[in-house]
Amino acid sequence: MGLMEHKFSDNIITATVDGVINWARRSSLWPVTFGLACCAIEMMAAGASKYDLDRLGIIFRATPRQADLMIVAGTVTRKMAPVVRKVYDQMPDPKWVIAMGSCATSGGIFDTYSTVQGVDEIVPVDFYIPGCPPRPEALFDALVALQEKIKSDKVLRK
Amino acid sequence: MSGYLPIALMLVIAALIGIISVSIGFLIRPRKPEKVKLSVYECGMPEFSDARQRYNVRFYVIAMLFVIFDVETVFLFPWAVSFDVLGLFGLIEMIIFIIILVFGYFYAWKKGALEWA
Amino acid sequence: MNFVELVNKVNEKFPGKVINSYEKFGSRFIVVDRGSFKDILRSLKYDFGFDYLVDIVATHWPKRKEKFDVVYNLFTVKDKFRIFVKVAIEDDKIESVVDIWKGANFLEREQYDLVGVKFEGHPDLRRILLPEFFDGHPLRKDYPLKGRKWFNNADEQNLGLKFSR
Repeated sequence: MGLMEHKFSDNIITATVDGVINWARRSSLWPVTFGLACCAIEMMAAGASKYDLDRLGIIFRATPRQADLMIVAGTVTRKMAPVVRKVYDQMPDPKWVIAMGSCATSGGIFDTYSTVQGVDEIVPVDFYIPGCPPRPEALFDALVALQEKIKSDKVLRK
Repeated sequence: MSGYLPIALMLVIAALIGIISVSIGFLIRPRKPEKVKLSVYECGMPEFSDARQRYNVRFYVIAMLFVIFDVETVFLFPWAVSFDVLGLFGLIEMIIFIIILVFGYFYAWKKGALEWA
Repeated sequence: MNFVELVNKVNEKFPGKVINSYEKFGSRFIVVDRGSFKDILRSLKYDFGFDYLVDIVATHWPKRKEKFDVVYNLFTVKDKFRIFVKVAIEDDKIESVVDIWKGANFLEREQYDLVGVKFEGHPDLRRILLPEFFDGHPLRKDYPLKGRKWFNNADEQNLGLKFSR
């Protein structure tokens, strides 16, 4: 727990401060680069110049220490599962997870001996994007939805 | 003395900006330290060993030689910039300087400082 | 190089050891005898110039008498000619070819890992793709497709992972 987090009652001052904090958080969502399979190509396309994630303040970081969002893009195998979890654990709070594509949400077509049936067995997931792979627009939809979700977060308020 | 007032003001403001932004982060940030979060980041893999290991002492000799011969380049730059002013005199001086360094290089070579095994 | 010529030459060198040879799916197959397959492979490398072992593939045939096929995908860099040498084995044991092609090391480890063919004489026969705590060999026909029970066999990094699906 932080020093001031969830310590104050709901009033106009704390609500305004929360609004500012949430504005800062949702305007600079930094995802950790975590491409596992072909969905990562769409994630890269979303980050590249045509779709341009940067205009939402989203910049890919190469280390979880600087990131607050993990886009699990692709098939999570059993061998990769502890790696996904560890990278998630090493991210500083607050942190969010988007499961991108059918494989990350449910295992997808890989209902087999090696594939984890949904990344929510390992990490808590905020948003699921269906599709195989989802188009960059779908990823954008999830990111905007995540920003809407962060908007209503309570930081200082109880 | 009054001419320094803006500078003092700027120093205060600069210090305040740093102090305020860091302390706001300190106050409102969530703090949930745990063992895995504080562990070494090695792309999610368990690390093989500690990063702070003993290095071979021969790296020290290589580093010393690098520093010595790096100075050569440092002296070359101002000479090259004002080469047109110094003319032939400067060229001969620099050749003598480099010859001395080359002697040093061959001395280090002969002594076996560049040998690894 | 001509395929019929090659088969005839191999047959001359090893009479009766070439069981079958055919061209199918645009590929050339030579089925050789279990007992002398290694001599044939060595001869193919040193006498016929098949210096590149592209791949080793093992297949499982549970209803057959010979339970496994091991297929060696050979290529000559000089003539750009590719053949597949097939050996059928009754049990799951076959001699390693690491002493002929060094590159067979990882290929044989992969087949041991996935199909469970034991390559005798291999210097370091252990799993290469799957984790150490995996049970069985997943590319065998009798391995359950959705066999995910092994997921909870180990918690490699002590993260408290539990899999239920």
